[in-house]
Amino acid sequence: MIDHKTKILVVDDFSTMRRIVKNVLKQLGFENIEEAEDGLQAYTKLKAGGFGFVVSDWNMPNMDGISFLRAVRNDPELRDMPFLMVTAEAEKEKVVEAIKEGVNNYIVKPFTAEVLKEKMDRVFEKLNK
Amino acid sequence: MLDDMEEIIAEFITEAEESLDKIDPLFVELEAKGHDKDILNEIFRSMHTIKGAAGFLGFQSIVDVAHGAEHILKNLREGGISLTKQLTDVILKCVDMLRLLFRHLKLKDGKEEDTKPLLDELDRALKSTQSFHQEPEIPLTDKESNEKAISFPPPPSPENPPADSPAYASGTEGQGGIAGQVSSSEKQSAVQVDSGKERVIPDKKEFSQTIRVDISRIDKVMDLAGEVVLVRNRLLNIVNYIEARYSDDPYMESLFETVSFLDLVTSDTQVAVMKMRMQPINKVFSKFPRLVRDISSNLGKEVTLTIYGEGTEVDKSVIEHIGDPLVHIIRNAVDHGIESVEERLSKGKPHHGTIEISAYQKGNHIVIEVSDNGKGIDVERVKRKAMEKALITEDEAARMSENEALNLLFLPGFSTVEVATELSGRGVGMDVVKTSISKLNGHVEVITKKDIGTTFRINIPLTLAIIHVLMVRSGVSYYAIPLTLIEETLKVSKKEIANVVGQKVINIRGRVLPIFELSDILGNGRHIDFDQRYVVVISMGDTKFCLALDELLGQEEIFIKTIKGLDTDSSFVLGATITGDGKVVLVLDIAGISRNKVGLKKT
Repeated sequence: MIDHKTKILVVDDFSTMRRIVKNVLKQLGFENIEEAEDGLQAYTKLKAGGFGFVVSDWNMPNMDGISFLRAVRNDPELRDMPFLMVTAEAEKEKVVEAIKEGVNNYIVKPFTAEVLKEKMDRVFEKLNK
Repeated sequence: MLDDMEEIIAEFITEAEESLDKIDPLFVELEAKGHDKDILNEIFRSMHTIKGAAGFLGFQSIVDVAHGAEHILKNLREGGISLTKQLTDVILKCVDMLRLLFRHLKLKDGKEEDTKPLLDELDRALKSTQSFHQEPEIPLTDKESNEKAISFPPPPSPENPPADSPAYASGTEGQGGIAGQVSSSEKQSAVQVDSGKERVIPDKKEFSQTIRVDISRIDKVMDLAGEVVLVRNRLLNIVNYIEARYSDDPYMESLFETVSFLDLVTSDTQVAVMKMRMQPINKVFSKFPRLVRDISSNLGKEVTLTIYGEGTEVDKSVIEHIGDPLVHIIRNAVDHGIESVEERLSKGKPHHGTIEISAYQKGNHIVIEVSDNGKGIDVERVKRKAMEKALITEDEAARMSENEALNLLFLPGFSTVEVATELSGRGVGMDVVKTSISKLNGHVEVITKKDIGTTFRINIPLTLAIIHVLMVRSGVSYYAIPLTLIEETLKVSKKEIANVVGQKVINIRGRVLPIFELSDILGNGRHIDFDQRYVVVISMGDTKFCLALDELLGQEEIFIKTIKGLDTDSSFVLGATITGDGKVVLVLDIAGISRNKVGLKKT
């Protein structure tokens, strides 16, 4: 099971989207949620420490989701950070790219709380093995 | 939860509209630059985000329109095909349609727009892009092999996936863990570290810390800050009174200290709250590149638009109300100001006209200027027109100064072009421009020179709610006059007031200005012949006139309270305030007085 105290970082340039994702996470019982507007900001926040999960959008200014993921995976301190990519494009091509870069899972928007829960469960199941 | 949803929707609309506002100028830039991947990317991202969020909130028509536009943009971005006018037009149509859809959402009017014709057009436009560029559609077999390669386990019966939603379908498809992928991905990252691939080092340590606050909350704070101002004023009054009586009391000094500190803090609070409402004027200006592009291309004119000072901050109410008047002025500049290419060439001017929009702060005013280098306004023609429309007599026309004649432009029912063109003639005349600006306590002036061009200069006070006023008395009533409109005050004897053709005037250092009794204007006058009159000289751009009254009581910083149910258009009253000694005082609408009594007065 996932610890509901896990600090989660929600990354999206569109504040409405961050709010929606936060709402969905809250429905799942997560309370400790922080936000970042782009990959760069998110990376800085992650470096500050304390986070246990990342939900990140793909398309963002400054640093997009895939570069952010790459930065995380290349950082010795952050390389094991569970990372869920949110994408609107159900394109296999892009997803494959994300998987190559080491994303733990991805989710296609729009999604429901149930779908998100499943994805998160699966990520943590894998990690705890 | 329901309220929460409403809040989210409201936030979505605001945010999405902001995104749309960014698209227009980007497109104009894109058209100028040709293919630019960064700009395309940014436009794509806006559409993409709007679509994503709308999908969550279940706004299908928004999803459809944004999706269509996004699709075309994607092909443009990835296909390297050039942007045609047809494509630009259809995407701009999408932007307009989205705006419309957002407006319905905002008004909650439940109206549906027929998006079908637009979607069809999008479809056709999309096909035209595809004929150049093959959609990167992955054949099914490839898809399957991909699936195998990354070995997704079969989706474990997702709960209620709506079968009709394609997004869900593909979401389900991609569900499942990424088994056996972790190790290989680790390898991948290891390789990347080894290969010394550039690590992204964030150079931006600090990020903007902003929060969105409902405007009603800020207004509430503004209201309260205003109340504090009133209380402070009263307190200052009382302290003066107390001091006169108990000047020996040892506590007097600390009372003084405390009150003057309160005075300081109150002023700082006002400024801080005022700043909270300030926004860069770019929110308005960003719409103009598209506007100028559309109008000039419709008219077959070549116009370059330059914008200066878009970072200048103005009060939110200015942002809300200055847009329409500016649009009208800009339309006029392109339509009537800038000449056709042939006409310009024959005059030896460069073939493209220029329009400059600038904003800057000047003292406690914001100045916005719209200048064109077109043909200028023909003052004689303006006068003739006004005579034809019986707005002035021939005699008046002959005596009119150039500035006075230009002010005729702002009279209701005035338009110099016989047949209003499609663009400028939208039922709003320049009188509306003047009215809107007056409502912001501002004024507008026109500077024009034949074949050099025309400048419209708009002056607006920095803040609207808290203003400095001069307290005056006329008869038994007290009034407040905004200080920004007062040029000077004088005391004159009755002898100095002359009568010229039925209009009272005074001569101030060689300048003859009309003078009006305030009590006559307000219609509460008792005519007592005083020997001495106090005179306030009002200056609104080029319009100058004097108000005669009984007493000047001094300056005060006040907070205007609007009066519910008062017709501010005809009462010459902007609102009311409570003075330091607890009196309710009406704040005069000088712009209204100028418009109704001075502007139209047959001199």
